[in-house]
Amino acid sequence: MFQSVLIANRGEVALRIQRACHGLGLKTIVVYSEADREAAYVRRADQALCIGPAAASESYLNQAAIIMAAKVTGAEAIHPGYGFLSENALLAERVAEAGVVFIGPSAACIRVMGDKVAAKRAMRAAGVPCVPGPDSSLPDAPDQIHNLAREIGYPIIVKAAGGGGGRGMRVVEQESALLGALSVTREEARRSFGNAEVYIEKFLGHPRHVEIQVLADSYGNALWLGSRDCSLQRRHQKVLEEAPAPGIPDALLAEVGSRCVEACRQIGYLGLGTFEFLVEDGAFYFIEMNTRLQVEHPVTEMTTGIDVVQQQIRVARGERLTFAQADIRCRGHAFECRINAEDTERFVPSPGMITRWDLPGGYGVRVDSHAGAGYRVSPYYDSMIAKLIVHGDTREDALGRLRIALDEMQVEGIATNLPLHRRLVRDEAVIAGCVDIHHLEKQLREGTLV
Amino acid sequence: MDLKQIKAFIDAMASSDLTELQASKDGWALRLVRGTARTPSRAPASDSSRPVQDRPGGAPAIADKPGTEVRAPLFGIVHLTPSPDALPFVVTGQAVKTGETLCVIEAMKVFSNICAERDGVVKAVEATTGSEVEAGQLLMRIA
Repeated sequence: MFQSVLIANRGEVALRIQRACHGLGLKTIVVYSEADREAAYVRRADQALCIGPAAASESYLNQAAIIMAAKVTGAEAIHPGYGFLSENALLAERVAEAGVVFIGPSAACIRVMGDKVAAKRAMRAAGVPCVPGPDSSLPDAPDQIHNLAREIGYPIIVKAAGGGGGRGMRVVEQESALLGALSVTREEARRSFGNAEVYIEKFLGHPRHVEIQVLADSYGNALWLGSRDCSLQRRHQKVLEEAPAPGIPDALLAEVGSRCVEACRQIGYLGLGTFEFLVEDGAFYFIEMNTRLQVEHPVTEMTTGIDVVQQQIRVARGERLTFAQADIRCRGHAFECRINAEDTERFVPSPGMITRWDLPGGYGVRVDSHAGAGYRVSPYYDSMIAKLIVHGDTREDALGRLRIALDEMQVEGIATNLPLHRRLVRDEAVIAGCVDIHHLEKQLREGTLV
Repeated sequence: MDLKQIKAFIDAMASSDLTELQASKDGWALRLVRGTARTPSRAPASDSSRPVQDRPGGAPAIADKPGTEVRAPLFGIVHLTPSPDALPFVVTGQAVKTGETLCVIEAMKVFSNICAERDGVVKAVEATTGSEVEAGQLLMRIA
């Protein structure tokens, strides 16, 4: 069993992993870029190693440097966090080859889930409901393609097999536009993902984004830890998440959850993972699986009472899960606001020095952040600087607490999206719950947010 | 550099939001570019997930006003070339037309084109490519 973990990430998630490791009595080794030299979690690490300049391509994405860092520090395991190399099958493979434990599923699992067509096939085999459409490569003959599309029924969506996270997609309203859309998407996919394969499926017009958190150990035990709703998005980026997803019958959720667990067993999945679904008119449709820890994991922690990062590390250490599905309870309701360094009047990034940092607090309020007054938000990385998480007995209770917390939080020196969040939690549709994935952009476009 | 290593870089890039990645090792150089039209044209590529904005920030900054200092509208990383091994967008002494890209500022995965606001000649380039610039910092002089 490993006693030390190299954290191959930065910012909020590096700190989150460090806390989980410390909770388990494990040593932490932090690798950092020149831009993150001053970060508090770097100082708090048992060992810290600079692996390159600020640009992520020369540091946090540099596999050779990360593996070398593990070797020279004697790290026994690597936690990839989210983003960067967290879903990179090759890194998982190279880490294992170096005799180090990769905290995540096998390279083979990452590879299958990284190919959206292969993933869909694996999900269908496990009985997970998918969006109508074939789970194989498209035929070459235009007639056959047209027949397939007609069977599905327009509008359809063309997607890149190597895409994900909302990239490499094109909606086709009618037959005449299909072949053109296919060739353009193929070319984009080839350039963007190095894989020209595309597939087609039914386009859903007003879906919600609902996801299921899973956790599996290496003894064939897999559990689902409830649902999250992440429908409030802008440019495919989640803005505000909640758990559980409101308005979904328990029996339906349990059915989908058990299918996800079955899929985990079938593919030999290990660790944390998320099955993402579109939900429309009461039906679930699988879109993709994220084979890593997710940004929005705290809402699941708040409602289940389980430290999922600690659990992820425990199962990677070869420990057996100590609880069963019947022990999993969803208690109350939780929300998470992603606080970004961006000006939401014009939606432009706002890096720079934080001069004031007043955090909210009190019962049921949690802030996960690596930032603070005097912290300089780097222009080199993602704009998320904090996650504000609240828990309440009911959705209404949690939302009320969130309003107060958002009003208490004050950040100066840089612009943040706090004003947008304050408006969102007062939006009638958000208060009612169950908005679709287009709601936020529509409100912004039409200027109808309160 | 073998195929496996190249695949590693492709994986690294595909799993990130980078538009461009460059690596060199043992006499090999590899450059991966996402999207279109980055190398051949002078404007950096923009893909659907990452808009190139012509004028970020409120600061109407940028080129022009008599005296014509081009200043950074936001804190970020300045790029004087469309890609690391490409020619610069502009060089000293070059005539530029309104709307022509002078440089790009990168901040938090968003690339913003800094464009000339009227015709002129580049008198001096005051920033180094790859360096950080503060909001309001002088980038170029145009007359």
